[in-house]
Amino acid sequence: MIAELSLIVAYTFIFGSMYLGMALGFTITTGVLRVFNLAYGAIFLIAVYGTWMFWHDLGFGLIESIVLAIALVALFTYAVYQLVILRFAELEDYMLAALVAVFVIVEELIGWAYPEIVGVYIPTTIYNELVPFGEANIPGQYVVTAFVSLALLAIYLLFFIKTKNGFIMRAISQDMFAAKLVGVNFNRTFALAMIIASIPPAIVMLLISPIWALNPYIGWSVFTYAILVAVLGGLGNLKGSIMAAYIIGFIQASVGFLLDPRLMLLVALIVVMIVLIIRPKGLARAETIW
Amino acid sequence: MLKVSNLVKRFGGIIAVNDVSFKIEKGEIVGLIGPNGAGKSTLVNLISGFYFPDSGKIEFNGHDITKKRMNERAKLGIARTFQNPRVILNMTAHMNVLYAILGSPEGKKMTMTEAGAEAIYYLDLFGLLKKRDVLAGDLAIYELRLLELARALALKPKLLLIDEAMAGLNPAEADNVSKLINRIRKEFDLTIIWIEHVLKVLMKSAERVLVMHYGKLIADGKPEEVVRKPEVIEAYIGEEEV
Ligand SMILES: Nc1ncnc2c1ncn2[C@@H]1O[C@H](COP(=O)(O)OP(=O)(O)OP(=O)(O)O)[C@@H](O)[C@H]1O
Ligand SMILES: [Mg+2]
Repeated sequence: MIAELSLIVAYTFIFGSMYLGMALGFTITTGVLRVFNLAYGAIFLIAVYGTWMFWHDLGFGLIESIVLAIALVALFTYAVYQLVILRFAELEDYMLAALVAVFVIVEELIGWAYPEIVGVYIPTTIYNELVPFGEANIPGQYVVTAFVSLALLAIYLLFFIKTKNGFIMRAISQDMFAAKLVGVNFNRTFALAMIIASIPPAIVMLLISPIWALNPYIGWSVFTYAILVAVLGGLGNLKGSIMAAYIIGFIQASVGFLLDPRLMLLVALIVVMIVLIIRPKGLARAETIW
Repeated sequence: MLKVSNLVKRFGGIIAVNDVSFKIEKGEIVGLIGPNGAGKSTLVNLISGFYFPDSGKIEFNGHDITKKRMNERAKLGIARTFQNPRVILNMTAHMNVLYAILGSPEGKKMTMTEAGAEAIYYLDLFGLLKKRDVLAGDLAIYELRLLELARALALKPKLLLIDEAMAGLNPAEADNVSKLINRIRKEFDLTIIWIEHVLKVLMKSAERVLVMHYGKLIADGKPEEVVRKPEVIEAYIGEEEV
């Protein structure tokens, strides 16, 4: 029982931090632009398959490939903003359909270029030892992923609290109208928010990829977690997302170690549904990013 | 500085602004009065870009701004306040002004610290220094009106549009707001269009008054001349005070 307890505590932290890192960008886009970016799932795919392409197919070094893939992610997100979100700004349902379409196109393209049997593997393992925690031993790469996620969160919070652009984004997330009033350049701020939002999921996905078996359809399952965290937290609110990520982490760790690992996602989904029936706007009280 | 030609704005069957034309020179302080629903706020909304007109033309410093959006007009130097204050309620008074500064063209070149200090300067100008860390949502109506003025001024406007700075204030507060407006006008070399429901307040400050009634501009002249016009008296019949 002590061993299970250690495992639950450790994995609540690990899953929670990791999901937070995956959801960070989604929460930022929802908070600042008020757009439900359904193409977000493609970022996870482009990050890992892009790295694979540059590294394995085009012969770049691993670090260079990762940098290039992250640049590709940023470029992709910027294109989604210019070509889909701006175009469909007044037609929200069409925009959502178009964003899903973009995601599926990316997925199909990757599925065609790198079918599952290709066996894509990216050696981004930073720490391969087991880390002892109480009675439990945790794979080092999980611990690395969790801490990098938290570091990303800290960097982004500092950005929102300390910098000009961060402050402007926060104000827009509070009151779009007041922002127009003082002459803020929306286009630039929105494009910037989209691009910075695309970096954390790419990094977290790259770090976790040596542990999770990669396949071209993994984008959906990772995206599911991002959406779960964002929705449970109250759309577009970082405080809410932090709470939600660790709640989901705790549910998953408990179900995984006490019940049945195959029920981890299902139970999390059901709990989120129940919470949303009671609190349709999620956990956060304010409709703002921070 | 500002030239409005044949401006029309309809809301369904209502013609809120009906073929309004006038010109304002740099440095003028112009009162805009008229009974409830006359179209005063709508006119200011058209000039600030909050609404687009159905027809007509708005020129500012020689540029046609009819199709420019609100944030572009703010950059050109048109700032405004609202009849019902529209500030960011979840942010402090200081952050509300800071935000306006960062949005302005000069603000782009400033650091957060510089912009923060400048925001303090504007709060102080309007006697809001003590309220700097209070959430705008917790401010009294008098303070909100001052905060809106501080924010508008922080945008370093050339033309300031004031939509009812006095409504809901007691006489002492109203007097103070009026003094402040006169002061910033001189210090910052502003051109002002100032809506007030009641003419009395504007008599002292405005050198020229526009009167609207049912969307039409029915008078334009010196305050003491305008109030003697039969059309103006007629428009105000049934109103308690002019
Ligand atoms: N957004 C809107 N939608 C529909 N009708 C509107 C809208 N805004 C104004 N109106 C109508 O246009 C007319 C002019 O309104 P406006 O607010 O400009 O008057 P006002 O002179 O500012 O009056 P008040 O002294 O009450 O502020 C009114 O009949 C009003 O009901
Ligand atoms: Mg009005």
